[in-house]
Amino acid sequence: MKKKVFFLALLASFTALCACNGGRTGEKGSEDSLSAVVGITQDLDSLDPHKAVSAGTDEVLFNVFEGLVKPSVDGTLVPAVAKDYTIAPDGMSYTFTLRENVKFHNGEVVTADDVVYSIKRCAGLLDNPDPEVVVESALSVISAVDKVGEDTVVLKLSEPNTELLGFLTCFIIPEDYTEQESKPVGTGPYRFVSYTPLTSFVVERFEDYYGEQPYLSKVTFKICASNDAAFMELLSGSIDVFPYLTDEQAAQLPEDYNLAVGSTNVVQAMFLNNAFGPFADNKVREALCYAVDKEELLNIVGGGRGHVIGSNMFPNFGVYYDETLENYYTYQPEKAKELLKAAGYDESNPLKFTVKVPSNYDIHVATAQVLTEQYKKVGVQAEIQLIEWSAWLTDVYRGREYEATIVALDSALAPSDVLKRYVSTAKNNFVNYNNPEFDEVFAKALASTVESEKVSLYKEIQQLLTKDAASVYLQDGAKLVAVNKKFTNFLFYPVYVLDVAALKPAE
Amino acid sequence: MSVACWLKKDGKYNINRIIGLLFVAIALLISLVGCFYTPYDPNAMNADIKNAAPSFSHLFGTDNFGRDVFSRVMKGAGTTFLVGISVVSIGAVCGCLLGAFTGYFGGLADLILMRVNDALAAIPSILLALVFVSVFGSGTVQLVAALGILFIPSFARVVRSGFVVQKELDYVKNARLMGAGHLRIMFVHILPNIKSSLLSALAIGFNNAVLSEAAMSYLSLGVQPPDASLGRMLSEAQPYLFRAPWNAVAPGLMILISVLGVGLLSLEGGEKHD
Repeated sequence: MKKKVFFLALLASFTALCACNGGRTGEKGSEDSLSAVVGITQDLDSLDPHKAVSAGTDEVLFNVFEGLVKPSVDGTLVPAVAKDYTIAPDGMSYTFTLRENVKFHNGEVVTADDVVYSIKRCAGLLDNPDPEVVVESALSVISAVDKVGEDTVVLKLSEPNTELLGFLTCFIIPEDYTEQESKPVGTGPYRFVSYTPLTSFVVERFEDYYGEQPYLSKVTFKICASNDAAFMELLSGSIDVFPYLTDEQAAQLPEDYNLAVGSTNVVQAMFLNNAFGPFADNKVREALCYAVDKEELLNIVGGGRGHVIGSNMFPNFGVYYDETLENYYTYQPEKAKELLKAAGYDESNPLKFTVKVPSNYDIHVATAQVLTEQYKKVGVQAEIQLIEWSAWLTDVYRGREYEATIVALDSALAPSDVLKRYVSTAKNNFVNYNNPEFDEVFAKALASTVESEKVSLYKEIQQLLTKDAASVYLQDGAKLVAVNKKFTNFLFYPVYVLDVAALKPAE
Repeated sequence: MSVACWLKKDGKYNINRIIGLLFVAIALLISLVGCFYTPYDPNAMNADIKNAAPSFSHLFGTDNFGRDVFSRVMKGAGTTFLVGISVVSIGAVCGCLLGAFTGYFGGLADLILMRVNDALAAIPSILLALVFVSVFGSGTVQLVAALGILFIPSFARVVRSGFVVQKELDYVKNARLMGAGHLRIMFVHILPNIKSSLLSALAIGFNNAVLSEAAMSYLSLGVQPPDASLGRMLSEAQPYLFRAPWNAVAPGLMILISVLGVGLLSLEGGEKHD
């Protein structure tokens, strides 16, 4: 009895100590340089690309499916299933000419009917819509999708919009193919081979692909339980490419891996519920912006990597991005204190609020801890509450029941997509931002057909958000990717995709 | 009885007691001092000394925010022990009442309550605590409530089995003949006689509570950041296990000495009456 208890106590304490010892076993990476294993940390939520909600799924399915157009590395949209397109000068219709002899993975040729069906499905325009399909709200301006001849499709809009192209990356699938969820069929450079939930998603080169043939004949997306588990596998050599390295892991990268650094293309911010009592006051929100030392934040959570942002947009938007706003709110704790005082908060009556942070994102939890410390210095008491991702989606994002929250928002390749959530009537305006001037300028920008005018209007919109301190905009984080030295040419896109077709074997 | 006497058993110094007492004393001292004084502010960050190795200025080094690990262990141990003691108190008080009544009176209520007890014990405690926390939200209070409820069955069973044996003994029958009431017999006569098994249950319960707190906070369901607790510290140290092992070693060591210390002490308490 005596020995047993002693042993149990010892064992228990050791388990607590070593609870994090992941398995180092796992099969070695294949010697065949024509196949690669890519580590991902999220299981796919659906193989039907129109039903997938999470960005992590789209990121992988990007290799299997294509839209009429697809994003390219420099942020422009290049023709894919469509050969060519024209946008009517008034912004009321789009005409697409299909590429000849584009084949689906099941061998059938893509027809105009398939394209009409796919776009209608994404826009929710089918007669019997499948309730599970995630309808892209930006496509709701489409009033009709018409087949004109065998290789031409015309989209008619109910209001002028010259930015719809960024959403027409929605994947083209065969009409009335019912097995999309178990055997997905698309037109991409890779075709589906197998999917084992929580284990792997395997694709192989599609020999009939119309474009350039990918270098790797087979790619396995290995689904790892967590970031740490994936890194363990990487250390043991069973993963060739891992795109979600943390700063700490990057520093420990084994010798046979290269580190590729890009940007995550997200807006990380502490979003403030503008409808919550104290935050309805502009002065309070401005004070919260002035009280943040973003340089220190980047040093602590990102090892100095990452890009400070000043509004709800990230640098990869190029001409639309207003970089002058990065220095609009510099770190000025004294000014923050003054503003707080003017708003009626001081030491005897400190500003208090709760930050809801999704617990699965280490970066946001770390950011929250740094911010609460910085706020403490100006006498603001911010309390962290960790919540699950699903609870975040229902309570914070849809229910808007929160005071402040820290997350990162991604976006499609259209400046309207990243900014439309601030329109006062937008369904996803979870910050409850309400500024009639913003709504007006946004509508103008969306309808504008002159590029230079569009650029200046979108800059004006960003300035409005910054001046109003709609939220505390923090950074566009650095994306750190481990790539086995066997491979080169890992490409970074300004959207959230993981392009394995570009990977080349290193000579 | 002096401490020196208590440390002896059969005239010889008892090594288990000495080590146990030493460990518990160290753990208590560190956590008590931590309530009033820490070398640094446990939450103060410093980007310049992220993950610094142990040195004279930072005894256990610093963590990934540049916070002093020793200060955080002092503060975190206090939190963890407080959770442990609260959990055991809830479990022990409710468990004693439940076990005493069912054990003493028996009958249908005993049968039903003990089957409920069995059912509760059959569910993995972490899983049940997870359900509790996801329904009522995460936080220290919810954690204490969840773990407290989970700890009731083990105490109830220990106390009940004691009562079942004791109530048949002559002294209880005598007391009844003398006209003592049921409550008096239960809590004045029987309870002191099962003291020893209850004490070891308390010690083991405390250890389990500390480990459960660590596990729950490790799953980021207990104590909320930036507050320190030993489990949270372990959880936060995980990514830095190779580069900055002191982040995990310091709180792990603290859990080890406290759990081991209490375990060694309780070992003796139980054995004497076996």
